[in-house]
Amino acid sequence: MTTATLWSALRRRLDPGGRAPIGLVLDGNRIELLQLEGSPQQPRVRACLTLDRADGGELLPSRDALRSLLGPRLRQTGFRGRRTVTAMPASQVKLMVVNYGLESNRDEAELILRLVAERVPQPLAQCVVDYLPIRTASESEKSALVAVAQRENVIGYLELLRAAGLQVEALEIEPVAMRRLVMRLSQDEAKENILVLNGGATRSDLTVFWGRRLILYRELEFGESRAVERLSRTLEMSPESAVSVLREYGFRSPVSPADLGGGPPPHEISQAVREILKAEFDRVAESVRNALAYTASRTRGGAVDAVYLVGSIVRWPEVEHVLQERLALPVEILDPRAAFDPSRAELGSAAPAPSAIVAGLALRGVGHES
Amino acid sequence: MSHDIDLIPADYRACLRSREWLRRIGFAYLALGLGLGLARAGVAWETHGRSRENARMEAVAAAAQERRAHLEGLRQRRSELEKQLALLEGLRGGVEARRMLQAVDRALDENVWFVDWKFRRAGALVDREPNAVATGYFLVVPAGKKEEGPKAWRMDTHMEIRARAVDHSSLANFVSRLVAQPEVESVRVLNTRVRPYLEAQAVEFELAVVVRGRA
Repeated sequence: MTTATLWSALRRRLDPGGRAPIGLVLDGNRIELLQLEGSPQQPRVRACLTLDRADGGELLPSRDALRSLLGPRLRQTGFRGRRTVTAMPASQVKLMVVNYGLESNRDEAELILRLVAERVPQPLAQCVVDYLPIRTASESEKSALVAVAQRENVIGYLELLRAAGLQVEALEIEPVAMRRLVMRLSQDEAKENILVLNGGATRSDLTVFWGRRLILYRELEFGESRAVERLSRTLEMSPESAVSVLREYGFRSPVSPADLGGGPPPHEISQAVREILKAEFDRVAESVRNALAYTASRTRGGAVDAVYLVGSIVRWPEVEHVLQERLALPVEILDPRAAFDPSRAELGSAAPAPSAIVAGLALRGVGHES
Repeated sequence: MSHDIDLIPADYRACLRSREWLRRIGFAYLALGLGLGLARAGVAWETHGRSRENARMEAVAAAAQERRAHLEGLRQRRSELEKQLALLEGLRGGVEARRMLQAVDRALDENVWFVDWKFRRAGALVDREPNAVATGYFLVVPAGKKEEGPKAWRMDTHMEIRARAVDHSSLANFVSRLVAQPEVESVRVLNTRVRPYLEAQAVEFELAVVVRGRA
């Protein structure tokens, strides 16, 4: 038994609930933190904090701002410890799927690095690379989801968090956090094979989880900023107004005229938004269908049990209905709160739910010291 | 799940770990130094307290010693004074001259008359053991610094009488009466001779009278 094991056992004995790391998502105008506690089978929310600027302005004007922004709030909201699991901001990491054949005399990592070097413009010495094997049908043909980030950006991000007093335990990517959340959800629900559509602000991706394995990852040319641009161009309004329209009216179904006040009926606005973004959603649906076909080919005709939506698109009212109409599959907005019991009043339905990414990050190390 | 992506560079993590260890070691050294410093300060404080207590106790002991020496001096002085007192008492002792004169007067009659009379009381330092007891008594002299061995002060009191008597019979009577006096230890007739006196003859004699010592 090593010293580390003894120390870990002692800490478990002293703190049976465990002190899981804090999940952290940080992008330009939004910071999310979530800490869980309890056992892996029954994680509970210990503390949750979301800071954002609704006007889209920069939340962190300077490097020191993060410390002054987080320091007092972490104490007030009940976070314990400063160990953190976070993900590289999506804009600073490039994800790619690499297919390769295993040669008997070549190391897998070396092979992947060689393939990655052909696909990134900068020298690999200036990059940080890690990969996640993807399930494949044959043993000879393999795939891996590879994350590539510029070393300078990685160090800068880590130093930013370190300067804020956080101790980064792991720097992940969003699909990995998503996989952890989906795995947690599949323990409770009879849905093992999941397709997750992550509609981000600037970038979107599709990920298929087959049981505990990631079998497909694809980037999509889709995102909130793209939808907003199209909407503002068509309706001749500012991007801010387009965001408001999208988030306020979204894709709502017709409602009773008695519920309406003055101005245009909401369902007519929603109908207009549907029409304007129809092509975008058709493209997304097509990509999803292709992914499903690929999944079926890789799983000998297997089908996914559900499609989950995550990311900023879940703020568009009834967006799941738009996709469900096109896919003939159950499409749900993934509510991370289903993965654990909210133990605090402020995490009830009235409070904004933590994002799926931060929930997936926070789930790392729950119930055991990592 | 066998693999999770982690983009923290290994060298960066190792660097942080080294820094953390250095920080811990630094803290440990600091804590150790602080502990040793505190312990040293505690020992110094305790030592200082003990030293102060020792000095106080030594001062008390010295004062006690001084008082003891002073007391001893006083005792010695008292002893000397007592001895001097005893000596003085001794010097004052013996038969008083008045009583001696009365004794002589009782022994005199009209047939004896004195020509010369010496009454002497004198002392001399002698060894402790007296060589004669018949002629006086002894006082123990306080030991001086330079004297070696015990000394005694022998007191001699005696009279020498030169007188004349009308005849030897008167002389014999006078001596008998004198010896009968309680103040007189002994009488020795030193010499007698007949000498002419006026128109007759008289017996001239000398007596040595040893006076009795302390009553």
